[in-house]
Amino acid sequence: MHLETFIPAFILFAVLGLVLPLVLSNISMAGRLTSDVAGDDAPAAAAEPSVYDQIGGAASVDAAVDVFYRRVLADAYVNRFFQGVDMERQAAKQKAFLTMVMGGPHSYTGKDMREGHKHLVKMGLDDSHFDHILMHLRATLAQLGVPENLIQTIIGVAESTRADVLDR
Amino acid sequence: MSTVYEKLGGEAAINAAVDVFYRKVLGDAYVNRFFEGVDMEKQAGKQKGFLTMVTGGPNSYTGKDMREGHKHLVKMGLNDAHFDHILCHLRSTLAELGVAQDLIDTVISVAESTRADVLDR
Repeated sequence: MHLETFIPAFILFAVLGLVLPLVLSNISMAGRLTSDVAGDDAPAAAAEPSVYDQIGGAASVDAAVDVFYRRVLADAYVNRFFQGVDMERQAAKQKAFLTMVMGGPHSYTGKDMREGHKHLVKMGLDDSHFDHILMHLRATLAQLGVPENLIQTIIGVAESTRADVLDR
Repeated sequence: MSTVYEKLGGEAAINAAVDVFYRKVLGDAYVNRFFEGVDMEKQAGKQKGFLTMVTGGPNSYTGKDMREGHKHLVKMGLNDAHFDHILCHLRSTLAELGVAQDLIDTVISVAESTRADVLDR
């Protein structure tokens, strides 16, 4: 995970807006980053277009953020973890998360995921809450008409972040 | 020892939960295709039976019912992911109704115990 040394977690979201457009044009880099986050279990994205490209790139992610965010905040089992959170910053995080799990250009690292959720783990964040987020992600993708095989790939990437998110 | 069903407030609480739960399930594009063409009134009765069962209330559900009642859905592709969605909607419903975490955990473990029957394996 050499990427961890590149971008400390605390500036990740500040620079995201600058980094995204730069990296957008570089599909091979997107593939590399995908493998980096997903680890060895992830399908190789080098030869074929990433899921991100297959579903329509940034525009699809924007649409997904809206649906996903609304679902998560309407879920009484998990929305306490978003209380007092800056909505605009949070939307950017959701976008980065969805871009990452869809295999798009991003700069998420395992360390970011771990550091960014530690305070939530202290608040009681556990597997069941993680399951809810996966569920809302599946529901969002299905609502947007993403085919089942791509949903499974995306969920596989999201699932690969569980240990980091839950800090174990 | 009183059941979760009694602690929640019995039938009235279940009726409230059915409404919320049903709305969540039908609002979930990943699972609502399994409810297409289903008689809504009969389905509400089934949801009530299901919620009564998982909260430990008086019910006549059996493993065989669960298995037989879902076989056609398994043929349509019903799998663990869909089952997980239903569990999540159940947790969300109970949280929304203010049910305490320990009771939610109890209800979910009963629901979880039906997985093999529901998925016909």
